[in-house]
Amino acid sequence: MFFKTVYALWYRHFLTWKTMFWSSLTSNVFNPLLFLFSFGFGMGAIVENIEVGGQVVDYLVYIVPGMMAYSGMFTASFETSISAFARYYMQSYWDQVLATPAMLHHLMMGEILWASTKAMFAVVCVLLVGYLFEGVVLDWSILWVLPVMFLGCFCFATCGMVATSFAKSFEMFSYFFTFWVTPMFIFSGVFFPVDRFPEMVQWLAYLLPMTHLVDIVRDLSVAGVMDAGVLMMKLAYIAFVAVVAYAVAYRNMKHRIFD
Amino acid sequence: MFFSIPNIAALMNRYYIEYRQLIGAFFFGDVLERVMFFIAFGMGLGRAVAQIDGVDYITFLAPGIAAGSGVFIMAVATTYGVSNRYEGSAIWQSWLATPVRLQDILLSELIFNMLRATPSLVILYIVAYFFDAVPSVSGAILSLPVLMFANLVYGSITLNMGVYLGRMLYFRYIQALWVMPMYLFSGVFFDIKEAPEWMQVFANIFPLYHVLEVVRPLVLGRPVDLAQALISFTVLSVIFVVAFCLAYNQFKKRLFD
Repeated sequence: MFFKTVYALWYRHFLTWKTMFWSSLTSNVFNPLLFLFSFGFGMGAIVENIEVGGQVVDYLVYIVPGMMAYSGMFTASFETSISAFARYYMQSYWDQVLATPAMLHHLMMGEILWASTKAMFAVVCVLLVGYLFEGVVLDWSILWVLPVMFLGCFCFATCGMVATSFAKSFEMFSYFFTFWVTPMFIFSGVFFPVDRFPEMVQWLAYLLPMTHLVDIVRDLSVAGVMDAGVLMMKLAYIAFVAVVAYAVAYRNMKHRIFD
Repeated sequence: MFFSIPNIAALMNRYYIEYRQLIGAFFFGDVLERVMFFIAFGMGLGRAVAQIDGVDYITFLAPGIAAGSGVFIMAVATTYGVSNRYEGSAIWQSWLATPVRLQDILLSELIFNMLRATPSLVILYIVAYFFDAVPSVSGAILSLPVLMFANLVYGSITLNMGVYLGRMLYFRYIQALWVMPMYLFSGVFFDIKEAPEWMQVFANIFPLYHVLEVVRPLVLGRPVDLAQALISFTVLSVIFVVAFCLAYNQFKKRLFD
């Protein structure tokens, strides 16, 4: 019952997305292309010593995994914050769903899983673009990256849900983006290693799930190996954030819709 | 097309009252985003890039972030903001029912958003000063009017794009095809002269590149090529006037016909 309902809600989002497939493909491919060109070639010309796991690599190779994590993070966060809020607040789509046998759990899971799926589409686009410009090698270790990315996107989608459960208007999301999405874009090691910052900032950076995700994805896709214990710890942290965020979002939403 | 100064002043007062209500979302968002970018990229890439154009990376970056910040603010305000005002809340129509004319509205939209972007510029320079990243303070002050004028030009360009595309759904193309390429390929983050050949040619089509050619030497305390600056200024002025007239005509068609 649970899976069937969630699937139905997920499928509804998929159907609406299908009508916009081409515009979504264009922006998903074009945006990372811009970044890879600008940072990979422009910045790459002046960056000298960037290391992954002890070996010096090209700057382009360094940023492809970061860009993968970033576009996944951005897509997932956007879908469950601004888009979900529009569906809830302006289109009354949530009220319509809740009038059917679907429950709030189903509704939220449908939103979150759809956001993660859409984010994975963006991730795969970056991966293919990166492969075309020789920023990443496609081999079997990439297969490990994708499930990890899915977990990460799931986590960011639940965090976006928390923002939606608190938001009273669209302006409120500017706080979510300024204090959550932008820091994860610039302080989490997408463009440069976190150890360049002062100790204090590093502590804050490691509180963000994005930092751990970027670490895992980069180590797995560039170096191909990672210490199993560290990997487990990082995955557990991401999952932990997702569970807490889900609990908070559910509690808030229940309060807001039913009370 | 004549402008009425009392009308513009009245509209500015109205924008100011609105701004006061939304100061949390506007001001802190604008300022924090710029300052975070500056500190993060300055520190993060500062050690990977030894010296660039003869100065530390963070010093090189300060004028870049300052000049680039207006592009985003103006683009969002003149597309989403404007469309919201004449289609969403239809407040332009209410203004037009008073003696306020269309040209007054368009000009005050541009001026207000330019003024709104200015405090974040000043704060960015102050932060940069504490990082020892502003070699010439007088140059930085001189660069403010240049950047304010540049913001008007960016605004007039995206105003056109917004009204010709028409629907909010398409505004993301402006972000993807104009704003982001301009920000990434105009030499905000790296010296365009060290980039590959094709990128140097490509950069010439963006106003931000030409603005940076003037602003960066100013802030770094180097002599500015005056003849070049004059040419850039003339070209930008022409772009502004032409873009404003085009936008005026198109808005006239949309609102009155």
